[in-house]
Amino acid sequence: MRVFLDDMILRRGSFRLSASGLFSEGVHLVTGPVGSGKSTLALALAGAFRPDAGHIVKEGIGSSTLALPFPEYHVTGETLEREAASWGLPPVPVLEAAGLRGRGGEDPISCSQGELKRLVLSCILARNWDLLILDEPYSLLDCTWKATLSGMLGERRRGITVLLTHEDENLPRVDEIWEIQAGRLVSLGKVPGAITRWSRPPGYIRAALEAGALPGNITPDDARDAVCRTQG
Amino acid sequence: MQDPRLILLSTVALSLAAFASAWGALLALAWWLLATPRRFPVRQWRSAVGFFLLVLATAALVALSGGNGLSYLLRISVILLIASWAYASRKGGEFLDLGSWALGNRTGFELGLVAEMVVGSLEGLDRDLSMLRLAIRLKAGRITLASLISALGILMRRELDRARDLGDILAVRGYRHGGTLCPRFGRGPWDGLAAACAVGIAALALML
Repeated sequence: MRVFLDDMILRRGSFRLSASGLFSEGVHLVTGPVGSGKSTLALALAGAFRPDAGHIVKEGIGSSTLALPFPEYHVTGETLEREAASWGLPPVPVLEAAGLRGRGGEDPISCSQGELKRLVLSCILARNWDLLILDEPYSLLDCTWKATLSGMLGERRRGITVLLTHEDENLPRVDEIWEIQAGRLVSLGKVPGAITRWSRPPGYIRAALEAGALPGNITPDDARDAVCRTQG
Repeated sequence: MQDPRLILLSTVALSLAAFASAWGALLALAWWLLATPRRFPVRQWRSAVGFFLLVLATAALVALSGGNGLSYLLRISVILLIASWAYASRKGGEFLDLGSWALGNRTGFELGLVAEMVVGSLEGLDRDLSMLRLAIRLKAGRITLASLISALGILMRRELDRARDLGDILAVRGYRHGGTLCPRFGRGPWDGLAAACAVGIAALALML
């Protein structure tokens, strides 16, 4: 199971993003500032459009999906439980996972964006996708749900997960870090080695590195543990 | 053509010419072939084909009711072609520039601002519909009329939220009415000649 980017180039007007590399099984974090091309890359990986040059080669991928940054796009159910059912899932556990227990009969239009985001992410994460692409999954979530999402992502044991985000407060355990630098997707390598090559790490990772500690992974707990170990 | 004032003038003149007669439509088509990059400026071919089929059906009805269906088809097709060229030539902020230039920094500014907001909303809706189509494809679910109404209802709320946010931003920045804008317009070397030809075509079509 792998996704190979073969000298791929994406163009949108004056914007250009080039990428080469291999997404193998595991969780891949793709970071970069707002406007760097993360969403464009996510759409291309999901097959929304073809690259302007090069190829995206998917091998052994039977099922794949993309979680869009705005949950409204995904919602087609007239009620919350029908929305869960539209993903082929039993509504009760999904609504419970999304913190919406007992609200199955409500119209999605009555929910906040944060609630819709929790529902859509719960539906998506309840299924085992070979390729799961998450574009800014932390947006619209409060810090509690960000931590919950990181926990859920950390539990994914199979398949390829590509997480594209500029999140700065809470990240999950990942296997590899990628960074978009000046219009080019660059692999920083496997964690933890990649952390030292990361040009824009989240604040808590930067603080740990400045304290002379190298976290084992990129969660806030990893950073805290590393600092504690260093400082005895 | 770069100057939005001349683009607007040419669009109005050529639309009038095309509407007035089949000869006017042919001349407007010739103008489009000579004065524009001649790229069919529609991003989504399926929508363009849908529009054309609609015009074709209406032309057939006109022909069946004793009118000149072919002339109708030609004239409306050229009007749509000119309109889509003008829309594709648009750059952000041009309506504000045009409004302020034509009607001053109070009424003109406000009309320009409203036009910018309307076009911005239409573009946002276009993006939303593209994303909605993609999300439905990814879900691979069965789309019913009820689910489509639900999805469009949520998108409509999103659009209303955007409008409210924009209103809030304007209010927070102290917007009351009008503004100060000194518009500048770029101009290509052939803009003046092309616009003069467009006006000439309109005059000719109206006289014939």
